[in-house]
Amino acid sequence: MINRQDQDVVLHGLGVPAERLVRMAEACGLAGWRVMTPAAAGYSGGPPPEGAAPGSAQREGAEHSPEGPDLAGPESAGPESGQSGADGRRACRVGRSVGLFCDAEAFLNGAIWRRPLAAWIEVGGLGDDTLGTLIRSAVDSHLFVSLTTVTASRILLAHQLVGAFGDWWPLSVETSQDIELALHEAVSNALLHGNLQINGMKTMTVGALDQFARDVAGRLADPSLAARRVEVVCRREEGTLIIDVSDQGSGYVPIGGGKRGASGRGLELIAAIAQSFDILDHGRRIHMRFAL
Amino acid sequence: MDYLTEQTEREATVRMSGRLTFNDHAKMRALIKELMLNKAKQQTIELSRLEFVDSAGIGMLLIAREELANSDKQLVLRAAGGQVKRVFTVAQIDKLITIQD
Repeated sequence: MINRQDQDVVLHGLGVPAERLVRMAEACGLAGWRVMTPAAAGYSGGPPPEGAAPGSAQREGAEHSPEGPDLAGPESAGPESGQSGADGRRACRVGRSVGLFCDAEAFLNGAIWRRPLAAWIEVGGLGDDTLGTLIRSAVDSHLFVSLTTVTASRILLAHQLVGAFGDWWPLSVETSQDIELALHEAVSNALLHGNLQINGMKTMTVGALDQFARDVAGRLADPSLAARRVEVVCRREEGTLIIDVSDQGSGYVPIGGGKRGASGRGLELIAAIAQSFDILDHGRRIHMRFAL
Repeated sequence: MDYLTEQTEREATVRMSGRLTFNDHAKMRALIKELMLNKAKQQTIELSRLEFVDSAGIGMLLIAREELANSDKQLVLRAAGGQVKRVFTVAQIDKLITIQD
């Protein structure tokens, strides 16, 4: 577990008005705050954030912001990433940051999925109370993600997140591939069957494929479904990686044993890869444990 | 995911690359249509440059196999490596579709 008393977590904001960033950092008791511009985050695009000083790449909370690597390219993720194998808490003391993103385009860029960021929160239409709850959850996790369904469906979330995990705690290629697949399946289930409430492809026909494609496009076009959240919480405990993926659907509990079409292998893959997994919260959350 | 199709008289080969996931349903739909129109009795999807496949990707490959079988054609998956080979093993899809090294 992360020790919140360390006061080591800095709030980064991309496209977030500076006054809101300060307010959220103070409300959540964080060590400091920093306004990122797209250029400082390693990608180009999007307007400069409201409240950013003209011409400056970054503004910082002057009193508390710790010295440390900027959020930028691979160089900031370099030599330190190998030193932290044994002690997760110690590793996380090195400039861990929670990122708030108003510009969803940022998530498409690999550079933002690197240290010192350890949490990625899409601000969307969230009010301060909900945002504060997410930030506190992020502080209590080793890695944390909260995205809207429409954004999560556009990016390689599992790939980026497993890469980010390896940035803090190096993984073998095989372990990394296995965890990425299980996480990808869990996220796909959360998005498709949870938030978008789409049925799997029941038969092995192009008709089923066409129906699936129409369902995905149709449901994503519904703003209330597209804005539903998917949340990923990663915690590392002695030799084990624990990942929870949750959605805001009506709850999906798979029924085993029936005749299977082209869908329905996701949970089997998770079962084959993970040490164990449980479906919780009436089918809105999957809790997975992996041996490291 | 991207693919390129090569054809000889008796065999059509599709070289697939990138990542095959549920996001690729439109491309898979187009690919299956191409395979169906193709007269070759054996159609091979060459996977050495495919980096990642998920359960939905496997589902779509099985749909291609099934639709081709209905037209009396055979689909073979060839040269899967790395993560793709691992997923095929874990999902035991060699029981459902012909896989060659």
